[in-house]
Amino acid sequence: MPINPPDRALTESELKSLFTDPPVRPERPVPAYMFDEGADQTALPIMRALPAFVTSVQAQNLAGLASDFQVLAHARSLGCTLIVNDKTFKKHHDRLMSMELGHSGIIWLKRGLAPELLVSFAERMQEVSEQKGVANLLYDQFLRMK
Amino acid sequence: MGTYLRTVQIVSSPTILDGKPCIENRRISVQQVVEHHIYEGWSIEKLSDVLDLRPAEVHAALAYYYDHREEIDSAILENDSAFDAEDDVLNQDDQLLGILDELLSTQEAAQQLGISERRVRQLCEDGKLPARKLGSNWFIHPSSLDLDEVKNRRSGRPVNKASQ
Repeated sequence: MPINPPDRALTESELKSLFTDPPVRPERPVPAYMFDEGADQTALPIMRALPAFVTSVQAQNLAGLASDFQVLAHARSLGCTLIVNDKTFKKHHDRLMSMELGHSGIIWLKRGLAPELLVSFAERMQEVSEQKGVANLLYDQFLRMK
Repeated sequence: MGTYLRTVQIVSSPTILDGKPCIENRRISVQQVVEHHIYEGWSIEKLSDVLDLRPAEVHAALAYYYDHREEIDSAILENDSAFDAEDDVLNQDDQLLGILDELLSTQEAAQQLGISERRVRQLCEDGKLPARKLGSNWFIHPSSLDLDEVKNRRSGRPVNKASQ
């Protein structure tokens, strides 16, 4: 039976190496977001019109090939906040925080959330980021959006 | 006995969405397809378009759902309750933005305190100036600048007590 790789849980040391390499996190001039495959991506083309870097797991050629942590680590390497719609990522966030490992932010979308709300959040985030002079204010944050 | 013909499979991997049944070679769970299709009323075409799925993949997910309805419905309920159970204000987008908007960057705090930004960062690192760290940046609530210990801190280079 075909199975989505990898088919085993990551050990603590594998997780450490995944989230400490590369050691320097990119600082983009604008906020950056990456949509997970199952999350509603209706807002994606609209967000691309903003001063923001927006991509998706599919666009990064990670569709089905990566575990949750690999996706989170890839988002971190791009400096992107990961947009998801599954509670599993809260558990992953808690695990990384307990190991003092960082990610570049996770937004958990409520089912049925109007895409305009995400766009409006991204617009406001861009304003605040500009005002504070920091592109990604969501590093290590786990955010629910409803 | 007939031969099995190749069709879309539903698979489970412990490292993808906690082992939830997913469409093979995708990170999309049956639950997510059902949420969009049944709970939000997305058509097969919209699902295919927005999530970049082939109609056969959508139908495979739905076929799995109809065979395991109780399991998937209960996972959806669990996801919804987990979402609503979180009550940390910092985990809510609107409130986080409000808080971030109010917080001062190290540069803004340095201007208000009349000291260098580097010194502000040092005070934050040392825990002498209450601050919140977001990634590699410190943010300070305006009320923290009114603390006596911070207000009475003299500007300039910190005194090296050992040399006195």
